[in-house]
Amino acid sequence: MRRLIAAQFPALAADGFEIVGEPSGEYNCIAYAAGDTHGWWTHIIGEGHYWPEHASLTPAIASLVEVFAGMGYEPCTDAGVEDGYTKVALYQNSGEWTHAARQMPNGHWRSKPGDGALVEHYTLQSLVGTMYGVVHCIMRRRG
Amino acid sequence: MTTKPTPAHPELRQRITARPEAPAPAPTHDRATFERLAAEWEMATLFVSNIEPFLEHPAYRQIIAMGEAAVPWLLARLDEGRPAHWFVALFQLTGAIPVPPASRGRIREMTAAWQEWGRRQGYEW
Repeated sequence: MRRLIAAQFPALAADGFEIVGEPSGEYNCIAYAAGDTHGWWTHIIGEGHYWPEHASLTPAIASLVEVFAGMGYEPCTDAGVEDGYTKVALYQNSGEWTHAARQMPNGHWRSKPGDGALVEHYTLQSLVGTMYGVVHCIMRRRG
Repeated sequence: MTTKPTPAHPELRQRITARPEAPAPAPTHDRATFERLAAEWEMATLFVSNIEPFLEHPAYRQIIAMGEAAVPWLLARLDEGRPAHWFVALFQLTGAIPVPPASRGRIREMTAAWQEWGRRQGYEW
């Protein structure tokens, strides 16, 4: 799995990362960032997946922003640790949402890429590239 | 976790079923071809959570072009550890919505619901 991740995300391989959870097909990055390690969140829900009721059923990055805004997150510009806040970073590629990462108390970020393993990385830029595109925004919530 | 009250979502369904624009590939209906295409698509989507752009992937489109023949093979594929992305194909091919609202997003429960639906429909895998 480590080799597959490194091949898919060259910047991550260069910056360094740790695998901190086993590969799992039972939860994805959006669920993990939202605090759910037993669910698969995607806007294509007709066949049975989950997407919060307050968010639009589209692949647009705005839909993912709605997911977290509806959970009490607000946009912020600082990717550093702020006492009392939980932060998530949302990624988009060509205007469509691709990924979400969650900040840890030590300032590192954790990501659960698709069916892959849970990884801890040191910067948000580590996942920027052809698959996840760019960081669209950072959002924070008290608590 | 809250759930959507109406699962059909005609606009969403229209979008995911109408998205491919290129001519459909010639359909094949053998299991070996299905397994090869499924493995190819699973590798392409290994790190993907938003699969909507990947519904245009040639391997996926060939699986959909197999039609109902692929349904029991997809139901079998759900047991192989990475079922999350295959529910969309089952939905596209059958139009069925067997997952109860309380189970949405819960992969094991979704798998059980789809396979129970398949057995009730008489599929064997």
